[in-house]
Amino acid sequence: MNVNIKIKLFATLRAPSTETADCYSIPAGTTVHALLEQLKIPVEEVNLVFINGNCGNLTSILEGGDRLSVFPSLGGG
Amino acid sequence: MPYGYNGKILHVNLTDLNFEIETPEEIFYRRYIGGSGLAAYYLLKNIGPGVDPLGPENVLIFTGSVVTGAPFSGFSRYTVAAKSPLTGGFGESEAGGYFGPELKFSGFDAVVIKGKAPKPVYLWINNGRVELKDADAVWGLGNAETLDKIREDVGDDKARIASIGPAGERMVLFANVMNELAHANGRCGMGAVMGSKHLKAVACRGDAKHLEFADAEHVKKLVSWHNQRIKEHLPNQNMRKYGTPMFVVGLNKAGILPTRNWRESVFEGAEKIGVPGYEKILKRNATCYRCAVGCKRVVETAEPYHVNPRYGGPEYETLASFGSLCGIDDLGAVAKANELCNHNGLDTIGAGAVVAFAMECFENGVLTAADADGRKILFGDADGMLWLVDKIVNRKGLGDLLAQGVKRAAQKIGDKAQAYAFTIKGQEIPLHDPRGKTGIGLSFALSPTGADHVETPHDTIFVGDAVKLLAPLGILDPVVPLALDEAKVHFFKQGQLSWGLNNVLGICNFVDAPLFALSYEKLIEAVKAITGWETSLWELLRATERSEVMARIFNNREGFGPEDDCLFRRLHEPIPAGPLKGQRIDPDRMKKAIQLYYEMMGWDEQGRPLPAKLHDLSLGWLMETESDG
Ligand code: SF4
Repeated sequence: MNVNIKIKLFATLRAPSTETADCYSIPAGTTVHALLEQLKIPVEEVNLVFINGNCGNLTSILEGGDRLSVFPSLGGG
Repeated sequence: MPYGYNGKILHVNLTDLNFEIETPEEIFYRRYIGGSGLAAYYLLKNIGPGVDPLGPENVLIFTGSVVTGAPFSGFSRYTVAAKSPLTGGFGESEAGGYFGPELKFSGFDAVVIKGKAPKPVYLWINNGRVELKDADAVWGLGNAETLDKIREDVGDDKARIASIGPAGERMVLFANVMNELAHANGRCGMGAVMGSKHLKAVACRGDAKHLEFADAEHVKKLVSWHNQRIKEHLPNQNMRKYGTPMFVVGLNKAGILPTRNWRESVFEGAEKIGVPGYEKILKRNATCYRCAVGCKRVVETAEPYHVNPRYGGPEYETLASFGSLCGIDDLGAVAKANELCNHNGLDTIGAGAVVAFAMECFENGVLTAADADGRKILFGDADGMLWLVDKIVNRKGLGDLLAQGVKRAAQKIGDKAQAYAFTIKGQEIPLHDPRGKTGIGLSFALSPTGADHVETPHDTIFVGDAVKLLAPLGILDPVVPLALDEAKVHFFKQGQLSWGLNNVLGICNFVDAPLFALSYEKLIEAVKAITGWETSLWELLRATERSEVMARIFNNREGFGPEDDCLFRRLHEPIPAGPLKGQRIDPDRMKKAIQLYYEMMGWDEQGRPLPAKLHDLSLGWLMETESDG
C-alpha cells in the first residue's frame, strides 16, 4: 500500500526530481533513511529531520499525510 | 553548604609569589554563576582602563561555573579571561577537555592571577594545597613535553594541565592556552598574557568525590537520560560520526566557505579537506570529560607531514583557516599546521588568518621574496604556510611581524597592506561568512571579544520548522538567513542569550539546547539538581545578559564605541561566484540593525547600557566605573 506525504528540503539539499513535493507517494512503513536514499539525498549531509513540526530521526517511520522537513548541517563552531 | 561548587576563589599574586583564598557568599555565585560572567566581574573589579594587557597589572582568570565537573556530557568547559593584547578589550576564551572539571575538584571554582613572576613558574593546585613551582625546566618546551615533565615533577600522572607553548612565552599576540594537548582556549591571546606573567602552566588535581550535589540521585537520572538522547538524536549522531569537519563541505555547497583570504566563498578543494578526505586520516575519536558524544578527532598522516597523534586533529575552524582561507587542499599539511599550533600554543584561527593575509600581500606585490628569505608565499603553498607558522612561533623575520596579528602587521607593512587586512576590533575572523547568515554578522560586529562564532545561533540552521527549537527563547518566526531586518535583530538578541549561557555555565554547544541533546527543560532541571537552586531559564538568561553587559562596559571603559561595532570591507562587497553570487551586506542596513539592537538591549545610541538597565540587572555598582569611560 502506498501513502502520500509532503516533503520539504531546505538550503543545499536538492532531490533530482522533487524539490518541494506536496504529494509524494511512498510505500507505507518507509523510514526517513530509506526515503532519503530513494531521493538520492546524501544521508551524511542531513542534520535535522522534522515530522509534522516535531524533531524526528533517520529511523522514524513515515505515515500518510506526514509533513517531512529535512535540513542539512550548516552550523559551525 | 554550597552544592556543585566549592565556594572558594583562589587569588594568586605572582609578583610577591603569594596567594589568598576568598569565600564569596552564595548570592555572588547565583548572580555571576561562572565562565564569562564570573570572569567579567573580576576583570572589572581588578583592572582599571588603560592597563597594558602584557603588563603585570593585567589580571588572568581561569574559571569554570557552579555546574562544571558535574558528570553530564559536555559540562566540562572553562574560561580563560584577561584584557586582550590583541583587541585591547575584554578577552575571554573557552575550552573543553579535562582541565575545567579538575580545577573544580582541586578545591577552587576559579583562579584569579595578578602580577608577574620574577622568573618562570607554574601553579600546582593539589586537593586544596597551592604551590608556585619553578618552571625553568619546562620554559621553552612545547606543550607535550611540558605536560609530561610537569606530571613527572609533581609525581602525579593524572594531573591536568593548562599550559602555554613557546608562542605564549614569546608573546605572540594570538597565542593560546592548551589543555591535554588537544583542547584550546584559542582566542584573544590569552597565552600571551600568561607568557607576560612568566606563568608556564596551571596544573591541578583533586577528587571528584569532594563535589556534592543537592540531589545526587536526580543528577544521575538526568545524566543517563541525556546520554541516551545523545545516542538517539541525529545532530549528536552526526557530531560523533563526522565531527566538526562535516561543516566544510556543507558550507562550501551553500557558497559560504571563506576562501583565499575572503576573496572567494567557494573552495574547489573542499572535499579534500572536509569529511571525504578526513576519513582517510582519521585514526579514532576522542572526547572531553565524561562526554558521550566524543566528537573530537585524532588523526594520523604520512610523510612529508607526519603528525604526533597526541595533538588530536584539526576541527572545522582549523580546516578552513589553514585550508580554504589559504587556498590549500592538502589535508596532511593542514593537519601538520594544527599540530604545530597545538605544540607551540598558537590559535589556529589567528594563525591561519595571518598566513592568508600574508599570502594575499605576496600575490599583490605588497610583500616580496625579499621579505621572506627569498620565498614568495602564494595561496596554495602548503610548505610556505608551514614555514611561516614556524617563523611566527620563533618570531623570526616576517614571522615577527605577523606574530602581532593581522591588524598590527598591516599597519607596519603600510597602506597597501590594509586592502587585505581583515579583523574586527583587532581580532582575526572565524571562518563563517555573514553574507550567507546575517545573524553571524551581528555577532561578529557586536561580540565584546571581536568577531566570535559561538556566541549566537547560526541563522542557516533555524529555517522553516527548525525554528520550533527556539520557541522557549521566544523566537517563533522562521529565520530568513539573508534578511537583516527587525526580526533578525530579535533572533540575534534572544539567541545570543542562549549561546552566551553556555559560556556562563561552561557547557559545550554540541550537547546542549536547542539543537543538541539536552532540552532547555532538562538543562534547568540539571542546574537545580546540582546546585539546589529553585532556578529558571529566565533567571539564567538574565545572568547571561548580565555577563554581556559587564563585558560591554569593560570595552566602553577602554574607549570602544559604535564605530568599533562593524564588519570588514569584503563583507560589504558582493560574493564573486557560487550559489550566493552577488550577496553582500549593506553597511547602512548593518548600522541600523546595530542601533536597533542597542535599543532592544536598553543601551544608548553610543552602545552604553543605560543606568536603568544596570539597576535592572543588579549591576548598579558599575555606574561609577562606567562614567569614568
Ligand atoms: S560534544 Fe565534543 S567538544 Fe563537546 S564536550 Fe563532547 S567531545 Fe567535547
